[in-house]
Amino acid sequence: MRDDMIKQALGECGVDADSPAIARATVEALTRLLEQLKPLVGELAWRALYERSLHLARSSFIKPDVDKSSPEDLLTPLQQDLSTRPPAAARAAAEALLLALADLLVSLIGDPLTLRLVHKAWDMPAAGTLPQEKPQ
Amino acid sequence: MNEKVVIRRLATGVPGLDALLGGGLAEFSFNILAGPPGAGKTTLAHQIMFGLANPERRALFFTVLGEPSLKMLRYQQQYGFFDTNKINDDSIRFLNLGDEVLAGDFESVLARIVREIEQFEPGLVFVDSFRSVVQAAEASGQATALQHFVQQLAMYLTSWQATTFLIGEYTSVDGEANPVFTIADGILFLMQTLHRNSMVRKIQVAKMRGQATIAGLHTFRISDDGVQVFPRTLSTGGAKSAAIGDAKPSRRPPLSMGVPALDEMMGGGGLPAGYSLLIAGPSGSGKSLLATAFLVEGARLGEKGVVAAFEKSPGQSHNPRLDDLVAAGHVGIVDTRALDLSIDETLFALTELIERTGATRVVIDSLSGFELALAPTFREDFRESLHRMVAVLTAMGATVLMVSELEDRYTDLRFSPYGAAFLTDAIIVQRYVELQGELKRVMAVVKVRNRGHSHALRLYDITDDGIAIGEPRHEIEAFLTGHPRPAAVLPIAGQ
Repeated sequence: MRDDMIKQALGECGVDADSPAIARATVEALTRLLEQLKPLVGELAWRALYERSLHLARSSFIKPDVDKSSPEDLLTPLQQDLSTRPPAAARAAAEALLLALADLLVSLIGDPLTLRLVHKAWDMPAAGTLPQEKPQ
Repeated sequence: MNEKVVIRRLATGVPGLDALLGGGLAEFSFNILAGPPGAGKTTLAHQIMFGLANPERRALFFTVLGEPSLKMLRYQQQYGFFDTNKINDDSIRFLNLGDEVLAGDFESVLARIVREIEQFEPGLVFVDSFRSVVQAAEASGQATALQHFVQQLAMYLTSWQATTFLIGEYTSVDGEANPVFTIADGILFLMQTLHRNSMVRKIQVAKMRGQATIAGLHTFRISDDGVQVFPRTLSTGGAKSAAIGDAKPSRRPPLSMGVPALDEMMGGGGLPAGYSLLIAGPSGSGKSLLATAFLVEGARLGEKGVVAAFEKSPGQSHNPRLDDLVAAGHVGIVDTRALDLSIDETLFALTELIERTGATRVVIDSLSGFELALAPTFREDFRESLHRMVAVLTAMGATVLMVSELEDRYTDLRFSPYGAAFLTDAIIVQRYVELQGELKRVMAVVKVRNRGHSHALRLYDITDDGIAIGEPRHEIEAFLTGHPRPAAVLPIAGQ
């Protein structure tokens, strides 16, 4: 179910989407989640969460350089990285990153609150709960 | 025509706190929750917020530089009052002000607060931790700007009709000439003190404009349900045990002790209703057995009982008669297993159980066990606290029986190591004596206030059926020396 939510978050780009479209959808999903999270936890925490998610998803792709200027600019290297990959690899990396972030949030602030934030960020109907996080 | 403004009191949802505040928090008041790290400030703030916030009265919680929001959300979720459904919805919104405060520009901080308040329209505003704002101001040499900021914030929030809480790490509220304290309508100071191995949490309403609060320090506990305050001067709100109603104790018949001969010794019928009775005696003399007989008799007559058992936990009482009473619902047990209790916490548990069950018979077994269960800091005031407890329980209409362990001494006559004898309306003393080469027990009624009673020392046995009191032995004297002997002069017949 958590996989389905991630797929839905990237759903704006269809299965035949090219890498730049996947990269844009990924950044859009992260930006919308950032809008929900930043007021709640602050910019420093958001940066830490994002970097930790990149680290957790490292087996799926090489960690892009993190720009320190602003939270929005933080995502620019990611978009560039994903845009240069083959579409299947870009989609897999994007899903791995979003899943790592969702898992991380669940482990820190719990399933219900994460679900509430994710639903609001990605315009999903509020129902059900996130499944248990994957073993590392 | 009454021209005074009516200040609404908000029920905080924190058990015991509203009584302390004199009826709740004043609506639109500007309050400080102060105390050292770990005192429970954020927990109290969250509990108040989750209790009061709803779509009609929204809450805005600003986090600053103190506890990171992620950690706060993670740990506060463990409490029962935390309701995820209220967060970032129509009821509660969290916002982080760390970036603005770090920049040290208080105009920007105020502008951001005002912007967010105008957008969300909250009825409750929290700033945690406000001390961080103060420290940032001091670090950047803007102490004057801070004072201006606080005044503007207080004025703005009062005009906005928001009840406000600034949460800050202050070690005391007395010694600090702080502009924030001057401006505040209310100051709640939380502290935790370590005495020997026990930690005790206390709360003080240091200031609350326009309402009569209960002065002094009061204990509170933080459990899975959050903060619970135990006001030191416990007001039962005129509450009576439901089984008693408004009937005056003097109009009610005495309560049988469950031992007919003892009822007679006490002046006929047993212990007068609403009295407090001290049963003093050495170990094994049958004090708890007598207390159980008192409860059994109550159960037989359809009267509920309550026991605060400090010597043994309910499962270890080795008292099947008491176990049966508890299992059948005739007697409620107050959990006294913690070793850092306060008298007020115990009193709260007792009064709550009495109100809930309609109990009329209360047993405290024993005073020495009770003293041991208290945090050391409360033992110093044990006698005074005991007086308060007896007063509250008897005011509720309950008849109270207290058991006191007393080492036998044959050179003086004492009734309690706590000087509790004068606090009670009646006293029964039990002792061991040597008689004809056997260890025997004797019992006497020392006092029953305003009532004629027997003065005889009566031998008694503990049997499988309970306490069996023998006939008066006027031919024997000097029981209290421990070595009775034949009386030198036999009593005149008829006396």
